[in-house]
Amino acid sequence: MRRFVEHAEEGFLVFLMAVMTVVAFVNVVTRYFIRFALAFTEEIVVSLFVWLTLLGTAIAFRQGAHLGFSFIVERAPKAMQRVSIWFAAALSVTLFGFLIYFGIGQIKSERMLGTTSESLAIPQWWYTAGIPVIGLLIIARIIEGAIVADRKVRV
Amino acid sequence: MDAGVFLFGLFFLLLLVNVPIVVAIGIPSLVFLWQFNLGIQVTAANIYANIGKFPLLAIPFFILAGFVMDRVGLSRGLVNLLSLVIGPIRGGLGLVAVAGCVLFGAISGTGPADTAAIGTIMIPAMVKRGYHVGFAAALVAAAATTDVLIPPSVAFVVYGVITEASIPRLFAAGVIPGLLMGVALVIPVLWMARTRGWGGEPWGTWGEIGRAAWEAKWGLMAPVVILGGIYGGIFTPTEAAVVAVAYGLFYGAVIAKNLNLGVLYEVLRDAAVATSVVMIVVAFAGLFSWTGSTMGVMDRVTKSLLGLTQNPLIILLLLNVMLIIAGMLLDAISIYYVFLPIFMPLMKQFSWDPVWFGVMMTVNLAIGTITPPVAVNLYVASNISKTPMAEVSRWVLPFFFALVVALLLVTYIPALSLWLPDALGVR
Repeated sequence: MRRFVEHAEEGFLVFLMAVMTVVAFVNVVTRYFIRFALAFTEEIVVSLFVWLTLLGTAIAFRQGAHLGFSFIVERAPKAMQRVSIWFAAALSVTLFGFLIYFGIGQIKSERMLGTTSESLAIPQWWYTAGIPVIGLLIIARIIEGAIVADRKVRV
Repeated sequence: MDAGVFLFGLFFLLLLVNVPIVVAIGIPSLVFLWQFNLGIQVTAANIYANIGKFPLLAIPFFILAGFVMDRVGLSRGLVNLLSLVIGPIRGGLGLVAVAGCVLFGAISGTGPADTAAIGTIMIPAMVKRGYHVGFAAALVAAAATTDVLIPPSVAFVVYGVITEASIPRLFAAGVIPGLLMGVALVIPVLWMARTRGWGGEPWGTWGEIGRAAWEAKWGLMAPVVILGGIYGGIFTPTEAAVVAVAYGLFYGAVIAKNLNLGVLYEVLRDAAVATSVVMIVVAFAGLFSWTGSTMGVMDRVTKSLLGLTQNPLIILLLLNVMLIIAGMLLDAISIYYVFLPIFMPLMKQFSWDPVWFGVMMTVNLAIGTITPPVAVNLYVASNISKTPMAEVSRWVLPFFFALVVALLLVTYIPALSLWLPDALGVR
């Protein structure tokens, strides 16, 4: 159970990457042999790509894999390092908090206007829903990543 | 106070206190969208659109292709062959590392992937032969900068999407500058090997060379399939990337038989996370770029640059110095988004070819991956060699100067970039 909570998004991320690759590959083959591309596959792959980016962002926050300029802070006293960790985490939560908020606004307006996707004509908000849902996960992983980094500084 | 000073100032300040680049670039954008009523409500749609562009799909597939080809051992065959052919020269293993990075660059799309693929083989091999570990790590990191220029290249995809320059043309234009960077690195390698007495390997017999070439055939064929496909007009870059993934998977599953589900899972996961780290920066840096342009901040920076001098040659020098400094603090992707809105009016004013300009800028940003403190290639090399960053950074200096010479040549001789795409007739 604990393993599942720790790595919940990882399996889904791998699944998305695999589906994207397979769909894109099938698309190359069909375009080459049947001489036309399956237009709807482009819509699916692009949408999965957005979800994949957000999921991977969550994992990268947990791993502390997002690039930053650590040169000065690494040389600062420990107390300052901890301040920097939590300051960065607070700002990160703010940024993705706003993304969730505007994502929900986007969904509301898409539902109100009945916007449908270009080639499959399914409700656009199905795709947009990925933003607030995965956004919450990102926030959880930001906090988790900060706790891990904070622990490392203290010992 | 000028709004632009505030936009850039806040970004810089957040960067200095170690806020992740994606957040340091996103927060000022949001503040400005809100403060100046630029339509903050559409932020989510904006982020969605910045990521969901079809040409950008080449990025995850080229990253995945690099990870797969490394994991199934295609890089090892290439290195074995190179060791027999150029290893016997004095400083031979150093040259093998350079050539290996260039060759693997024609398979993979990013510098850190190349550093990892060649570094895990060549750094221990060099250390075993008495090379200094700092030298070995710094050399591989520096040689992997060629990967950014040698097609396929994730950096060119991003540049092409921002400037609407042709991506196949950019790919072709990067070949000669990439090789030139490799050649530039050979000089310090030979000189240091001579002064420190790092020797060569024993000569391989013709039989051994033939066997190694035969064993490396799958690795040697990969760039032919990828680049031949693009220039033969068979694939778009995105399609070529997908085919490269399939090629690597086929090799691993059927030929080398070292690909099981566990390995596949890990490769997909690692490539997806590496992709996300790039793409989330694309998303928010795109927002920053758009905000700055809409507010006219970028225009004002352009004008003040032109206020300093109207001489294009001096402006080019200024741009390169700016980019070298930016490369120490930022990753290549954010630099494209922050600086291109400033540079694009200059390109128009001086009628600079966007493809040549892209190659010049990309050589510069490739060098940025080995200039500390923010230097992804050095970081990977330091991890592989278990040598502190400070140590690797010291050893990288001669390679940095060699690459700057290559940069100046690419800057002032546009034919180095444009001859090949013109000769091939790539548009």
